[in-house]
Amino acid sequence: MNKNRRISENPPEKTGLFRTDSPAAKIALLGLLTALAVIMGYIEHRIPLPLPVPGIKLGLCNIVIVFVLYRFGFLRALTVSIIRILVIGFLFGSPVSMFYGFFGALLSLSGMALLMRSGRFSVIGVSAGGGALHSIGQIGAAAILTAGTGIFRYLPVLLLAGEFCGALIGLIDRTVLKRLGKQRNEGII
Amino acid sequence: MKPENAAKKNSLNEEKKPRRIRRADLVLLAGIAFFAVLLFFFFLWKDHSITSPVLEISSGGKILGQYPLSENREIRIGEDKNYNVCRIEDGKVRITEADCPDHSCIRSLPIDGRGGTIICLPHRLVIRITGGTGNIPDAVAE
Repeated sequence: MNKNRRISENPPEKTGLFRTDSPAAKIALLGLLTALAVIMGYIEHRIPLPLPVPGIKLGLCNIVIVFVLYRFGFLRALTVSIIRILVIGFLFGSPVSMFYGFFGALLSLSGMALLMRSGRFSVIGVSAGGGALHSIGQIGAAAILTAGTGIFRYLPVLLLAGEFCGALIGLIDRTVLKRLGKQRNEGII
Repeated sequence: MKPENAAKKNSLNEEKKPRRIRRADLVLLAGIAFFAVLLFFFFLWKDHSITSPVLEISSGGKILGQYPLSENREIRIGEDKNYNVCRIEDGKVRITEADCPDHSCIRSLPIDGRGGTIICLPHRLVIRITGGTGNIPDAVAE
């Protein structure tokens, strides 16, 4: 219902390659972005970081997620994220890793949406906050699974790692948004 | 619903030109980093209070056993599948062998009497140094 209303509120842009606000164009584009996010996850899966602390990843797919969050809003970013976690989970992961993924994604996406809407932060801050929240979410999920608080000992390291990787992703996304933002008005995106 | 939508539109319009890094960003980054460092020192302080360290092995919240660090030994946890082998050697504890998919428990830095935790998430295994109880003798509670 919400979706329909938003589409009807925005009259379709007819410039450029195709009507960017048509539902079909949006679905196609979001499908493309989801596939890209899955590929990013695959690449990351193939390059494990040999670190003594588990759970540190660059989070390449978050380039896509943050992009979708900025261009299409929270709900679609969440949808893309959930589909990505399901696909990656079924392909390479386990139910356990999917559980972590959901927890981390939900927390970080909600946080990023709030940070974004507050209007005070740039993409870098939003993404860094999301990275840190992702770490907290994963630790929380791990604490639930191992039923112990011992895991919280990893939190300081994971927080810093999440913040750093998030800031990096934000830096990339700033450029991506800048470039694709121009094209958006020309109707490619 | 309406005002929320308007706010969304606003933020979208604003974000057409992604801004440079702002002061609020730096405050947020510094805040998170500060919190992390604070937590780190909290755990360091907590470890400092360990007086008589013992190794505690637990799985899924259930304590499987407590072992002294003074004695070299190898502990096998789990059956043929889903196993971890934990070795105590010269007061240091590490996982030497496991059949979990990620092996991050093996890569974990060894822990010793100063405290620390090794976790194998796929097997829900937590190996940590405790010492609060103090009254556990050097006998093994298996």
